[in-house]
Amino acid sequence: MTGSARRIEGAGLHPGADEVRFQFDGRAYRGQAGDSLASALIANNVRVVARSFKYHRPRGITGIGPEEATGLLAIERATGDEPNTRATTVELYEGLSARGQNAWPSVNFDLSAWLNLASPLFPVGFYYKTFMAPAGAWMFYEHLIRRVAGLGTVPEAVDTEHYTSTHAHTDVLIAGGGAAGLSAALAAGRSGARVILVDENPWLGLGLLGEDARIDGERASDWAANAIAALSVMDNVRILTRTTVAGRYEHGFVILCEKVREAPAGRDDPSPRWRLWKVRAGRVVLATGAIERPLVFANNDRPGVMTASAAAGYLLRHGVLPGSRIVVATENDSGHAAGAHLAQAGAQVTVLDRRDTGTAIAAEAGATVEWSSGVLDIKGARGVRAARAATPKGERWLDCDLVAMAGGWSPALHLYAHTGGKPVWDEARGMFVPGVSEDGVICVGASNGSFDLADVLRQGHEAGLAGGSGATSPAPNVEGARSEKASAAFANLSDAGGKAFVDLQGDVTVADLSLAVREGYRSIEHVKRYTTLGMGTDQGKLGNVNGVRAIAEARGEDVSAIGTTRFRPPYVPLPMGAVAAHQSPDLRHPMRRTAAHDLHEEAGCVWLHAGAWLRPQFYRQGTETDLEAVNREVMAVRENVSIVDVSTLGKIEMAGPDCIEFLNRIYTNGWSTLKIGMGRYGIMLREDGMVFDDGVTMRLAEDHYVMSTTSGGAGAVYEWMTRLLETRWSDLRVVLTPVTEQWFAAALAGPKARDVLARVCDGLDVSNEGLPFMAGRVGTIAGIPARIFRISFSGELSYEINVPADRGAELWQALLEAGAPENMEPYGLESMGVLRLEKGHFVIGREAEGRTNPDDIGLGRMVSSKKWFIGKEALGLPEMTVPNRRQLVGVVPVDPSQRIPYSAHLVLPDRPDEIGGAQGWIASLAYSPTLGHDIALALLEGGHDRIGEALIASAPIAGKKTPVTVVAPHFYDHEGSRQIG
Amino acid sequence: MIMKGAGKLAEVETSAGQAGPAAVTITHCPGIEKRLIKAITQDAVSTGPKFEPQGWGVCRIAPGEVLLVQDDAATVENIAPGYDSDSERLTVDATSAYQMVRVEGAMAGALLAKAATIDLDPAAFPTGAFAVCRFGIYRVGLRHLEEAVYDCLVDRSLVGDLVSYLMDLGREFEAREAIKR
Repeated sequence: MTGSARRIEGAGLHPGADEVRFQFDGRAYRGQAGDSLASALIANNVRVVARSFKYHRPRGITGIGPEEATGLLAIERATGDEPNTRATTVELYEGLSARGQNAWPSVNFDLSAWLNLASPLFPVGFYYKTFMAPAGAWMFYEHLIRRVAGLGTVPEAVDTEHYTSTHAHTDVLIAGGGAAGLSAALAAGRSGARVILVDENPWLGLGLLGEDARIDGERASDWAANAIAALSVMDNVRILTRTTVAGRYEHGFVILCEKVREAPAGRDDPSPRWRLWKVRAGRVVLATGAIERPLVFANNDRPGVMTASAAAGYLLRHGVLPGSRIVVATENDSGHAAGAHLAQAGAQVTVLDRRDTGTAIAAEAGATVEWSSGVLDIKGARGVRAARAATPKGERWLDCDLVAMAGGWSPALHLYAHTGGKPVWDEARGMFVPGVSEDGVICVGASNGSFDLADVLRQGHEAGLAGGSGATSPAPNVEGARSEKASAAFANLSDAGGKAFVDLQGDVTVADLSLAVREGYRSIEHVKRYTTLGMGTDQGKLGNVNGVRAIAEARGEDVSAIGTTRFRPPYVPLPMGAVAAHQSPDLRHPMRRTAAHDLHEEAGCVWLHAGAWLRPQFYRQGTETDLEAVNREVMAVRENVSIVDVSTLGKIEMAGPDCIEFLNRIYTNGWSTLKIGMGRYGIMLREDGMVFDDGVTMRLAEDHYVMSTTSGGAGAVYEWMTRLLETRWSDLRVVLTPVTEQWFAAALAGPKARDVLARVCDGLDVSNEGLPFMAGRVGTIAGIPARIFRISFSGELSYEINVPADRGAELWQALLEAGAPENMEPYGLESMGVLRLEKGHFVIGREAEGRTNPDDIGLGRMVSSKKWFIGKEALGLPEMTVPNRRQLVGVVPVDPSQRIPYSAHLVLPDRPDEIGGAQGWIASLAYSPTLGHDIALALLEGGHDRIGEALIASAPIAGKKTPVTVVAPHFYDHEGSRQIG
Repeated sequence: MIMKGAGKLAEVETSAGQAGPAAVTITHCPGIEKRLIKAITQDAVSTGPKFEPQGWGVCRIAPGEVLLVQDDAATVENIAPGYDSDSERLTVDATSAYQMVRVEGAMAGALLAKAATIDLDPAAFPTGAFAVCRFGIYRVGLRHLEEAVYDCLVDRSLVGDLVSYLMDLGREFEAREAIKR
């Protein structure tokens, strides 16, 4: 088909444009460049494009923009199909392939059409009253309902399209590029303000197409073109077309969604398809226009029934005449203006106006005008064939192929209402208009309920200048604008017979709304949710006001008493990809790397995601299994010397004369005797007395300390200490700064650690006397400025060496070379876990899991009775000392050859399967190569008094049980002689 | 967006700006040629002599916390790391905590606008300006070095991921990645 069936030569914005081939439901068609998919389908006389949501009634195109409720198609794309796409907003491109939705096998012949015949059985809310018996059959019913209901199909393939987002700042953001928006942009731009002008269409000034008035002496459309040209050369003005203002939030924050590209990307095309803009605006001008309302009469949903502005718009924008025998049903002068355009294009037009007088513009254009008349019904299920007209002379059928409805205008107030603005009903004009606006936001033009062109331009002009301090300019001057005669008072919607639709997308009729009110749903919010009025992807843009009217009639009240539902962002459906933008899987979880990362990689480590860090879990040699590698590394530390990267541990520098007092308050143990050059281990509690974090703090100088924290707790501890100093203890003279990033740290551990350190310590005395346990020194290691702390987590002789992070790799290499005589190899996090477990060292998050106090984990001796500290009061509560508190114990298998199951609970041997009989659980578990069997730390009720008891470690999900013995929670070197020697 | 007024209404050409080869280059500079000092005092507003030595870029990054950036490796003698009890100021050499990523090219500003929430308009962020801001989840010290050249200082441990992030942002500009040794 050539696509010229309804195209008027020389008409539209792109007459004679290049041909574009596309497909719909498998058939080939031709449109032209500049077409929307909707205009191209209309040009090809395709009338049925979809089936309705509930009743599967044939549906065509109703509107011309984002208000479209019925023309929802699926666009087939190699990067992933896009369902529920409004045909009115898709720009035609070569090779576009679209298909109808909610129909099988096709939209022209749908086997589910029987639902329309059975519609009396499916009134609104029927699913709340049916499908209740038999009770067990609901899952069957639901399966059927899901298959029948809904519109598009969610694509299963991964979306591989390219999306992006960006930020912008501006003085003035103008939503809408019509007459008011252009006027505002000119005024603001000329004043020197930074301006962003946004319009959802590919072209600006569409509202002035076909306008006969003259602006500043020019034809309206010429004025618009010149305004756009002037704006485009202003450096301070950014124009975004094909961009929707999707949401407006407080403090001038606005979200825009820009369609950068409609067609699939070419082979080497790097452009994104969508761009999400996050804009901070000093002022927001809402020039969002108004949406024409449909009229409500029987079968007003038939293909070939559309709004009058859409019918005229297809002619003026795309040169497509959507009908040749057109009935315009109207209650105002706008319908006549649309009829005039259609008549001038050669259509046979009959205007039925419910008023008894109005403008003569349609008649002057050759249309037949009948006053005090209207449309009652439509004939033609798959396309309008006739309209039943009610006139003073009686009722008759009018042969026609298009019915254009002009039911009045509803200002587009969605963006206004996004921050809570409440629309106000204007009875005289029959529309909701903006109520009180917050500072910095102003509605202008049609969105403010103004349709007089001079007033529209003036409002825009003033809004563009408002609040600015730059140069001013006069408002545009208008001549010859048509003055709108008053609209008719509303017809009673309840008089509409048959299926008179209010919400076209949700298949909600006047009768449905009346039924809802009779059933007791009175609030507009309740009626909305019960009937689904306004809950479709169109968000009720066409139907909401008619719905409010219908509810008001049913309740016998004024529209003002009903109000509107709450408009929430987004204004139109947004692609999830545009919202996610750069959150690709690779970037969603950024990982921190230590300075020796590349060296670990070269050494063949197996990586572990440890919180936000990538850490070596172990270093596999040859064909070692995981366990063999870990066992080797553990024994290397126990018998020889090894090295581990501990850069991830949190480090916070602290200085000031009150540091000791601060440490005393945040740790349970005392700090007053800490000497310069020494460190001390401490545990921090929360206010509720539970262990929060732990670490060693070194005193570097009189008033200078460095605190270590757990890797995962570094941020939380720093934030917590900062909050304490800023809010509770602002009198303490202490300053803090996190320095985790500044320092690379390696721990040299094992009986031969001192020998290795001595080779690189550049004159520093590392003897047991010169550098005793828990001492710290500043010096150089391998020529690198360093801090050396003799502390141990492994339980062996150990030194933690800290150097500036940019020399971390250098240190690592130097230490490995220094340890070459001992064949020193690195060890990883897994091995460190075994080593600390053998020593019985608890770990925050495992044994100290937020519900354990110091005594529970065997550190009651660290709680000072001589000073106050955070959590002290809580430790005195009765529940902190009850006998059955879960306390830290060790667990070993009775038979050393047996494995203790992971995630096991500890149960009594004579009642191993008793529900609720668990006495505690395994917190940490590993095979100990040092001891030759599994070991575990566990939290056991009253554990301190149950040493020697026999229990069962039970993992019921895995079906495993192992007899175990409760032992003291330290399995190796109880006295600690190996680390202090 | 390029607009041209013609005929009845203006047509719009969509373009990514001056895209093309090397419209923006993202260079990881591991051997940072800067010196960074972080100074922390208890007072939200510094008292006493103003601690903004000449020739250093200065940014107040937290109450009482100032980050100083020097663009060459020269050491300024009066900024010695450590705790000064007279001024009760802790000074930390933060040089090793950061690495630098340079973003340069015709589309450098457009790329950074994708990441940074601050206003990058030349009037608001002129050459020489330095701000600590957020690039997505990353904390970055951003310096506007020259017209189309920006230096991004990021935590050393996250520089690899930041470069990946910037490269993804720069995809539509065909960003080029480089490493400066």
